[in-house]
Amino acid sequence: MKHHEDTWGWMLAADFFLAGMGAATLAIAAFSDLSSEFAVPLAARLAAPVLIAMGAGLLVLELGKPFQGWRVFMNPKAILTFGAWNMTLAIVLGAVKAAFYLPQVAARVPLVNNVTLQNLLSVLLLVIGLIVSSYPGVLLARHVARPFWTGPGIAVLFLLSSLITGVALIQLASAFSASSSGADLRWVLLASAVLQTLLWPLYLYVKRTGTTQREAEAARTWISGSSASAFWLGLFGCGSVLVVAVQLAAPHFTAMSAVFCLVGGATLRYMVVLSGKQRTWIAGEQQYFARLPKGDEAFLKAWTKNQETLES
Amino acid sequence: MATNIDIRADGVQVKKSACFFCHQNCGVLAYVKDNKVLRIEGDPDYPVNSGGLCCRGNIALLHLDHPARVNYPLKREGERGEGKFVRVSWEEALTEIAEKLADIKGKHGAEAVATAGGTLRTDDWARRRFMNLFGSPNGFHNSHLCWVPTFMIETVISGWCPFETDLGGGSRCLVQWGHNPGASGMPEMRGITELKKLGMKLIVIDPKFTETAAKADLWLPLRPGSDAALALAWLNVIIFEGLYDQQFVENCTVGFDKLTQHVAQYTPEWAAPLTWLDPELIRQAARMYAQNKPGNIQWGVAIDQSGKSAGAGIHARALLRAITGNLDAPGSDLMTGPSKEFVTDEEMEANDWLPEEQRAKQIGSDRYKLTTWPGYKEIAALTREVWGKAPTAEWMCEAHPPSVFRAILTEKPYPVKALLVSATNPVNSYGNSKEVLEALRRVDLLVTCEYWMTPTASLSDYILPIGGALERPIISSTYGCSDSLLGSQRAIQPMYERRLDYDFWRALGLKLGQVDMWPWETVEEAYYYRIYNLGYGVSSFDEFVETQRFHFPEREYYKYAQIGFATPSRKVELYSTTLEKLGYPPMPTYVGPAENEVDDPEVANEYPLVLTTAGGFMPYHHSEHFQIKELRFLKHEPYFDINPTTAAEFGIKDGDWAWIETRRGRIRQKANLTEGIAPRVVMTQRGWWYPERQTMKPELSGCLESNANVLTATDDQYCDPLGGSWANRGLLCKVYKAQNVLGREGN
Amino acid sequence: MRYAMVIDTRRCIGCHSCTVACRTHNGLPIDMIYNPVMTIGPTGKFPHVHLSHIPLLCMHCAEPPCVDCCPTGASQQRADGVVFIEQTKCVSCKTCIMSCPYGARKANHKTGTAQKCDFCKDRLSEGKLPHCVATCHQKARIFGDLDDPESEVYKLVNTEKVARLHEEFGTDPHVFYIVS
Repeated sequence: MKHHEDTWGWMLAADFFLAGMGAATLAIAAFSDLSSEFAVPLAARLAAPVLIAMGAGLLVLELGKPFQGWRVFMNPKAILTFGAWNMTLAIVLGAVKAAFYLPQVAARVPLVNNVTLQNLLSVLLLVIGLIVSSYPGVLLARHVARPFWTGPGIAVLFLLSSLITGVALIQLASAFSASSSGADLRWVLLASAVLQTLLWPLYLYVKRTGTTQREAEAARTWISGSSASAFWLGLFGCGSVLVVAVQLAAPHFTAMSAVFCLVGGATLRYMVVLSGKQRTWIAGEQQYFARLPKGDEAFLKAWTKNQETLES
Repeated sequence: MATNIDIRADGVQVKKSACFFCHQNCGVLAYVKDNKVLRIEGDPDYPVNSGGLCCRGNIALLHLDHPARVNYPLKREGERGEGKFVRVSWEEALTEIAEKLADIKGKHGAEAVATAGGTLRTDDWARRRFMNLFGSPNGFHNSHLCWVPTFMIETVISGWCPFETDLGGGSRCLVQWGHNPGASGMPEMRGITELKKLGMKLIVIDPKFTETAAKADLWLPLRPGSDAALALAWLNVIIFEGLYDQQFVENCTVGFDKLTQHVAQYTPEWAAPLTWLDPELIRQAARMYAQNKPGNIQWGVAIDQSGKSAGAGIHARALLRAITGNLDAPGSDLMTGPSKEFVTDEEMEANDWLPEEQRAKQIGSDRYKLTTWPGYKEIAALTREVWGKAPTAEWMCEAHPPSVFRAILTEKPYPVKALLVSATNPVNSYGNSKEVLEALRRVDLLVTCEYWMTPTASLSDYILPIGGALERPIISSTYGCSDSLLGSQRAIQPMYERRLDYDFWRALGLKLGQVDMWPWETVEEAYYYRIYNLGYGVSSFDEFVETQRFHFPEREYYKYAQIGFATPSRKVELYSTTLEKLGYPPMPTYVGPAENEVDDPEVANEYPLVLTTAGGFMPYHHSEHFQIKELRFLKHEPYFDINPTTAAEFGIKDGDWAWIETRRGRIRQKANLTEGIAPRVVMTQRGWWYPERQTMKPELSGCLESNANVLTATDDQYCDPLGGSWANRGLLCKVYKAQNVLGREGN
Repeated sequence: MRYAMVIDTRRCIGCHSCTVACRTHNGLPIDMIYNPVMTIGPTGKFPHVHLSHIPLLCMHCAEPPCVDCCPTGASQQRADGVVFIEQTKCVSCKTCIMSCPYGARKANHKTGTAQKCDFCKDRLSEGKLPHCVATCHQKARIFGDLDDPESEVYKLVNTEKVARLHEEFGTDPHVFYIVS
């Protein structure tokens, strides 16, 4: 928060993580419904819309005027408005779809057997799920003046992270409900983790060598600078390499690899959002602001209207 | 700050006021209703600023009613420095002060009462009038550091100081000698920019690559304090390369042959190791000035503040104009002479009322003759003969401040028992702060007229609240020495119980029996008296401001053709008989800087760097505005300039707190590493104190912590023998990192 | 009618008067600055050095990334190019702050909205100049209608060597810098 030039913080990161995970889960579940290749545990279906709602809740809390949060639905040209509508639909439709799988509902609501309706819901959830999984990445990618974000790469990496954490959520739910979908998705998890292991170093390499000076510097921070340990240990190590290792060596440790995924995913979102604090600074800007008061200096508080002049 | 003021509402008046926060005194329009200023803006019709306002002008309303303003007269209770004051009435305060002054006069003589002033901001003729009528010759300002030695030496040479740079008359070359309008004279800087577009050359002589230097054709980063050597070398080049104005020299000067002989030794090669400048650069600059005529040398405080070498430097610089004929010609430096049309400051001072035996007691006049009664008397006599009037005595003829402070402490040459302070915080602005602080603590009676509770005010026995810019009218006429004047009216009557400094001196004078000598009840009446003879047919000063505002007489060049120069020979004296008469070198003779590595190598061993305590910088003005938090926000901590090579040598990084130490003491500022300064030079910022801290003892608002005047030298050995300037520039210092600085100290 | 500003860096001396005029007359929170003035240098090595200043402000871009991204529609651009924020609609989601390459937008924690330089549009409708332009002693800031061939901004943009900040981002900024 540099003299009122506020930037997004952990709440946005948490939203990207939760909503991305939830939305990907919805999409995967929808795919499973349409293809009947595998089953998704009820716990995951129920968790998904809740997680997206939690993310939405954080977004609202992040606002300067949370009680006027409804205003963000107003501008059709804005990605955020597009995202808000889709998140809302994802929450509602996701909850409705999940409800149909509750034994109490399945027993009483005849619509559960309406194949057209259910397929329609699934198609919608597939599309909306993918949208919510990917639009934050697109949002970041369009920030031309945020050197770590700018360009298509971050959109791909964000979608990938949504996917991998969605799969991990499902895996985790499977592990605790003793259902069988875990085995089917194992390959998806492995493939995603391998992709993530390869794509992140590639992204950093491209940033570091083939772009502008500011982007190269931003990448350097991740490779060997102040963000390096969080990247190499958290995102890369825990969230990617370890997942691959566990999947290959001890595939039955489902819960463990899922947790590694989630830790890596949360780290990823947080690190990326924080990297957004760096703008493509104008010459002299940083030195100017660095020399300004931080906010706790005595002179800022020393004189108020009520103070007597005799007091020092 | 309200933004939606309807200035077109009923009852809103527009007053033609002025900013008053620096000498440029830009015009300000104040929108007033019911004695409240709603809004201010720059006056687009005022010739100085054409609507522009700098940082300081813009915060006028924040200054006007700032919570820390002193608004009521205060009288000390308890020990000095404890900070216990009781509110009293003006009547009570003035009565008691008058009684005490009368008492001191009875026991020790009127000369035991001294006054200290600041820069501008006051009607100094009123102060002088009071002191003359009271019988004391010991009034002073920071005049020795600010223009006065220049004025007096240049007047000695050519009969009136040629301070009016006639840039608009077609100047082809401007030398900024120790002056940085880019940071302290905004309208001036604009004028320079416009002229540069027309081809005028700009030479900047300054140890630092300032805002003005950045726009210059030539930058001469000389060793601080070595201006005398540089100016003498320029004289050498201009004379020996035949670049002088032969006609002017033959017809209008005396002593050229003597001067030629005298400066033969001062070659650029001789000057190079003293000024740290390449001889070719010295030549190039001298040639540029001499060959691009008409040319101007803009005065700056730097030479005045050099101490011991000031007089020699000013003298040499003054002769440059003379030998190039850049005197009173179109586009060059003009001697306006005093105004014959309006009543000058000097004529308001009642100088005739100070008896000769009191004049003789003026502290410092035995030593520093030029800016005290001995020199002033000579000069005034000459100017009266030729111009008809004399220069302002309050400024040009003053007691020597360091000697007065020492008189308070040592009772030599005699005791000084009272100090009346108006518009200055001496501990901040006068040299050798520790000595000044001690004097303030020990003087028997200390009275301060102030806007703020400064450390000086906090040590005072009485504090009187004074109205500022928007609360008072103003006449500017270059300290009473120009033939033009600009006027501004007050926007509102003073708030709370503030009064003007004029009101203070008048009321005090009346209480001390100066009856009939103060016929003007308000300062507007006094101003009206002064402008009456201009013949504008106005019935009040306010009407003058509203309808006329300024008086610029028709420019007359080559006035000397009619009246001669106000010197004994009636010519420009390249060999000055007046200086000779006063016991000074009649031609500028090299003097090294007050402390320097050539003359004091042992000192230089311990203090290897050269210090200059610098000039103005935005958004402050001397020690002002540190409590305007909107301005303080931009530069909230003190920084000193140091070359990166030197900083590395001492392990200092950009932004580190470091001590800068001289033989007088040390201060702490943060390091600003810059290539814009020579490796052996260090430049501290001036003016720093911390008004947000405890004003009372022991803190005294941190007035010794980062204040450059802790480092400066005022002992007689460091002062200029001619004018008494003490040494702020070119001193020897050392720098080292501040250890164990917890948190962000200094704020 | 398209408002634009030209900043003549040859004249700017880094006095910060524009910064102070803006924040004082707009009543900004003490630590909020719409237009910082950056010092560049002295660059080089003593004594061959160079110094300049860059006043920074909202560029009132022709392709402003901050307008379309606003989900509430608070961030708008007028036909004359002035970009502003309708305070009643803003909820301070900070999207616009994040999107601006020039750091022109600021979050006000008291009002819960974002705010920025709006070329003093209320003064424009009275025929006055923005505060930063009016206050500048050096006349380093020139403001006017870029569509008007008689205006000073038009002439300067078309005759002097001008540069813009971050042109590579495609924002089409409408503050032009005259460089020496």
